Amino acid sequence: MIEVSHLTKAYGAVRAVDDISFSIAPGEIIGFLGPNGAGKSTTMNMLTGYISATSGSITIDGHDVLESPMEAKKCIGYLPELPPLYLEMTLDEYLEFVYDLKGASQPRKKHLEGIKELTNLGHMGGRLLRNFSKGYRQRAGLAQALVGDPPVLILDEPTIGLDPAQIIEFRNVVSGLGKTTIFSTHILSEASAICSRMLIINRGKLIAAGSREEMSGENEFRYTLQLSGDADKVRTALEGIEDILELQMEEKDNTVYVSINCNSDVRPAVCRALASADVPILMMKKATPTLEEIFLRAVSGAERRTGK
Amino acid sequence: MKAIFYREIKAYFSTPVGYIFIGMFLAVSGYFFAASNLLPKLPDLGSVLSNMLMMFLFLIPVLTMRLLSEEKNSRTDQLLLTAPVSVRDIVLGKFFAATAIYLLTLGITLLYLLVIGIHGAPSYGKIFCNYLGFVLIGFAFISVGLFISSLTQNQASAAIATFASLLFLYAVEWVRGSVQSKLILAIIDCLSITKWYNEFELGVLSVPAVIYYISFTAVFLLCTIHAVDRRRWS
Repeated sequence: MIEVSHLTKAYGAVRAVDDISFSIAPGEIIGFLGPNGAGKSTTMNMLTGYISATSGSITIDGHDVLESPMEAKKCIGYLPELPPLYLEMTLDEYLEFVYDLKGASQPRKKHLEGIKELTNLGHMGGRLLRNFSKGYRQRAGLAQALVGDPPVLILDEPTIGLDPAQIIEFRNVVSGLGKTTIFSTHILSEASAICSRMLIINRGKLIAAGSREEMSGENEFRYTLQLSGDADKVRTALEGIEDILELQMEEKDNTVYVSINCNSDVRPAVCRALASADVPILMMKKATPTLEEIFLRAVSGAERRTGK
Repeated sequence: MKAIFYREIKAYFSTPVGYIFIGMFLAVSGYFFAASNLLPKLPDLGSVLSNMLMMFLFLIPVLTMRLLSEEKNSRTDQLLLTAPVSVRDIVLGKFFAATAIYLLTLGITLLYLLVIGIHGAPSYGKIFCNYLGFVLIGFAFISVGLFISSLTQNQASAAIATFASLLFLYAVEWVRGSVQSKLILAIIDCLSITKWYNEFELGVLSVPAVIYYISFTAVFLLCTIHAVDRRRWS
């Protein structure tokens, strides 16, 4: 549905977006992750044709953004970082305007009512956008993006400034639409909640891509344990196991917290060793990295590769 | 283009801008009409219009200042430029909205003509020329204002810069007498937007003047389209 190849945007010597390529299948929901200033908004602005790329190409549903901008733009609903609202208009006037602007062909009244229903704005139609709170402005922005029923949604930090209940509601709306969606965020848990895949971008470069499972490294063997006993006894017991590469221990209130890094599943061996050393296991679990760790790992990995 | 045109027209009346422009225009032209037609009992409406030219320096910036600058300021340009609409349509939609408000206001001043028509014998041919010239010079001024509005994010800067530019175009004629260089004279001829109005004022339907104003307006509209486009490519 979306094909991006070797996309670059340079402002003078600074490369805000540097040689990014990815493709997105119809119906996929993609999280676009990165710290502030990583190039997320710039990339989205290029996808929607708001700014031009320095080099590279973008194809939306088979239409090149540069060569046939009208067709490409018709496929996209865009919610920029700041919802583009005309504050002196009422919500209804605004949506009517967007409907005309996009040249939408759906039955006007039914279409707009449906969108207001979906974004929970049904009762707000006659109110001036100026008087909308941050959360409601964000909803109005999403409503605007949905006008004309475009197959692709591009949402730039859509949940910023929303309260937790609104965030959950927003996620439900977006994941229920069944549209090809790219949304950017710097909140990692957000991306994992609704995305089938994530793209991580830092300093203009795409540094990692994949599902959460792929990124969290399913075939890594890291375990954390809580044991009752003393640290020296634990160390002697575990040091006999060959496959353990790294062993970290911390003792607090007669409990030993252990994390081990190994190159195979050592759990049975660990159990036996600790049992014969008479150390009771209070807890043992596989350690899955948090998204924060995945993110930092990707960032530092990319920096190592570029030799910075 | 139609959607943008209608939205702009509405915006003129949902903000004070439309009321300020129409109100001030009619108040001042009403005064001129009273002072130069009603009180001295003269049927020549042309002098009201040429006096109004001076007022344009203040009024046109009010009409054009927010057209494009406000879009940038409130980021609504992201909506317009990512919608399936060309930059040309955006610029023309806004230009026609401003000219529509202008023509509406000018239309109201035809009441003066009605008053004169009832009580005297105005020269309709001459007044037609006066109005035609006035419409054309208004379009030219609006295109300058629109262009300047595309260069800034701030309404006040747009208004002041438009005022300064219009004042320059209005007053460049005054140095003509003291200039010898043929080149500079030619430049003054091109820029001197009020000089071309003189013929209309005398009641002459001057084809070169009509062509001058239309091309002047077209050049500034093209510059505006280019200015909006260029920011996306920088």
